Amino acid sequence: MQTNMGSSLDGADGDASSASYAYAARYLYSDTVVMNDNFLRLSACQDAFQTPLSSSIATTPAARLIQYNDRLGNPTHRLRLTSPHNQLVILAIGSVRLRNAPAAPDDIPISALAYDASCEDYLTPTPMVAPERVAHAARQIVGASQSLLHSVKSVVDWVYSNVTYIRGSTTVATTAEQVLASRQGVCQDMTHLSLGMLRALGIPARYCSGLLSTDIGETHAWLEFLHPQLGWLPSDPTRGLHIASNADLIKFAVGRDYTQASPIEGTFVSMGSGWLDITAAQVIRSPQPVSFDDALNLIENPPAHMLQQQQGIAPIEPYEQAVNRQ
Amino acid sequence: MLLDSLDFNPNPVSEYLARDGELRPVYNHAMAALDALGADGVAQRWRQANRQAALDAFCFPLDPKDFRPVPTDWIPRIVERREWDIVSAGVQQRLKALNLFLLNLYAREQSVVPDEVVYSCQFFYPEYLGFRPAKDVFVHIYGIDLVQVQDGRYVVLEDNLRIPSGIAYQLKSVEIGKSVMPELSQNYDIIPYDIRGAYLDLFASLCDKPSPVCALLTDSKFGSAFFEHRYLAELLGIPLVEGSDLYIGYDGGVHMKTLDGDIPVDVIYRRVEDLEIFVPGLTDAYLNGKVVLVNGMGTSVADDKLVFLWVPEMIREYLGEEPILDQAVSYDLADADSRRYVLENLRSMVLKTRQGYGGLGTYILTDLGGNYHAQLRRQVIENPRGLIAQDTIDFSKHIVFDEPSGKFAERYIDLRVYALQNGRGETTAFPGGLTRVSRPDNRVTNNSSGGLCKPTWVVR
Repeated sequence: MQTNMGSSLDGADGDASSASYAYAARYLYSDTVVMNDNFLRLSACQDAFQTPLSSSIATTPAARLIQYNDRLGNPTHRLRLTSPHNQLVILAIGSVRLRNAPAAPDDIPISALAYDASCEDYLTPTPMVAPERVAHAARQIVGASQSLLHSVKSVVDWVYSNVTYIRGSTTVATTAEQVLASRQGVCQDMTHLSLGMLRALGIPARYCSGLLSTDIGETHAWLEFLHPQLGWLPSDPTRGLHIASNADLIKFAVGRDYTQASPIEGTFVSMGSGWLDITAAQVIRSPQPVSFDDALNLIENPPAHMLQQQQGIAPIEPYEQAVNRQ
Repeated sequence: MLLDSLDFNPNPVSEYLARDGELRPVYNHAMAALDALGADGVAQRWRQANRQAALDAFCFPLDPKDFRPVPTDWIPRIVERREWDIVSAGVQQRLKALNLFLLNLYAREQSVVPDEVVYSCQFFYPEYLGFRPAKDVFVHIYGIDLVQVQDGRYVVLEDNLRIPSGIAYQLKSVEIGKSVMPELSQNYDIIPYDIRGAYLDLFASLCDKPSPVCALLTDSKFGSAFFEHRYLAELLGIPLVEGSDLYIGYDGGVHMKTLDGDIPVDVIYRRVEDLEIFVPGLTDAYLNGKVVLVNGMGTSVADDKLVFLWVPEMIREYLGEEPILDQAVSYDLADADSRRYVLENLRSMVLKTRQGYGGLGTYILTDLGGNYHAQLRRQVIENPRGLIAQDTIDFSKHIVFDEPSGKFAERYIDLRVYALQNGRGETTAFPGGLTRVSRPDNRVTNNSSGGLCKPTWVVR
């Protein structure tokens, strides 16, 4: 974990750093697609620790995009293509200013948490996270502890040590309960399981998706739990960090679970099936601008380690002949 | 009297009865005519009418192999002129406001409905942003679902703007009913209307041509609304085409293949939603103004049950008027307070999936067992933006004649009214509408959910 990296934009705020990002994905289809409708959550969002400086999205074939903020404030692009195509490339670039959350927030007892009605959404069941199904395990892990930070740390540490990271071992539809049973998955699954456990303990927690900027850039999922004084604090079960550094994470979207925050959500109409051929991301820890060419280059000339990662990605199985979901 | 055989329940309102439980005077002649026929006579006419419906292929097959006439109860619903005048004004007001909403939405100038609601609608089409349809009209033919409540008011349940179907059923049920039972209608002055004239005038008003070439584009002869497509094409005297009959020419316009050669088409009365599946390139031809589509594309944003919540506000914002018709009290479940209220009062709620149509995805909780309640409660919590809730409405019932038993029974009814807005901005509502009758066991009236229909008259 690195903190206070990169050059400060204005010098006044010693805790701030800037980063640029590029993201690219290519979908291929076995037959002509006549309609392709997608929601893209691929632009850095605004919160207490992150300020987007610029963002842009391009696609091939070119499409008219509309941008809006969804109900949770996530910058969302709606992309709908009605001209026939056999592949779809989505490129996103942008830059952000990042500020770190306090490294050692005050601890308080869970029983002292007083939340308003808007937190209800982050305590109740969602399609992929049913807190009551993982509640028993959560209580065992936390034991008699009544402390907020200790509970978060116990859950995150337990998930980090007990769930094995295996690409391709789960799908986008795997639920928290299934991860608890199989003890394997990717960042999305570890996040879902942790969310379920925290919610079962009465701690409001939400799903985050975006990019991880340590080592090479890649799409990542983590969570945020609500601290009564400090707001939403990031926690990353995949890396075993119960308080993650904001400076490592570029956040695209938050949601109650993956279904509300996934980077790309869509349907297409085709006689064939489709699959995510390759996806790649890059984060540069400086305000240096990146271009769409840089983004495209990520998938056209992918580094060897990235190709290895891709092997785990399963094709999108068609669930209906004419209407498919990606 | 035949009605004496009916064991009716005065709650909620029985539309053919006055408040004192006596027959409403406007039904006197019709019921007297039924009494004169007697139970056997009525049953015999029923069989005759059903046979006529079958011979005319008056069908709404739920399954392509199933050839059956639309189940119809031939006792008319009679709407008095003074009631109709209010409905008609309210429907036209709503149509005008919806058109202005769509025009502003696609010009990116609307602020009545939150962005996150409209832009996330399944049927919001970003590719039409900035597009202005011919004569600035998006919705030309509009269908609205109404029910009558206890005090006689009509209340709006739903708007249908995508490809509202059923106007042929409105016409055909009245036509067969009158021809098989002329004695029922002989003492009534039923207000006539001219759908052929209004539609042809609509098509012409959208092009700057006195007699444009028009075609009705059907999804297929196996589709459930094919009877209507064929009936309307014949009534209007325009060709009935499938996607493969049309292609985009080198001029970028739409051409129709005929035995006498290919003809450029000015107006397509589309009864399909996914243009590119049926006619590749049609979207571009439309966007380039080479062809007029009726209805325009992108209209079904307003079919979204969530957008419905803001229609009264559209009327105030765009027309500066108060809504003439009330609409069902509806709740946005993403709002925490509304959601809590709905979950606390779930038994008296109707839940509807946002994109549902034809009665599919409508759950009336008082009519459903406890298992459903738990499931739907869960669904509301898990995915509050997938559904909306409405207060359950006690709407009116009417009588139907059960031919096998020779007895009358009461069923819930609604009213689908059709209205039109032409290129001169004028609106018309066609008097009457299609009355749809629920099945015995519930209050969902949609034909796709197995309901009956009923001829509807507006009388002077």
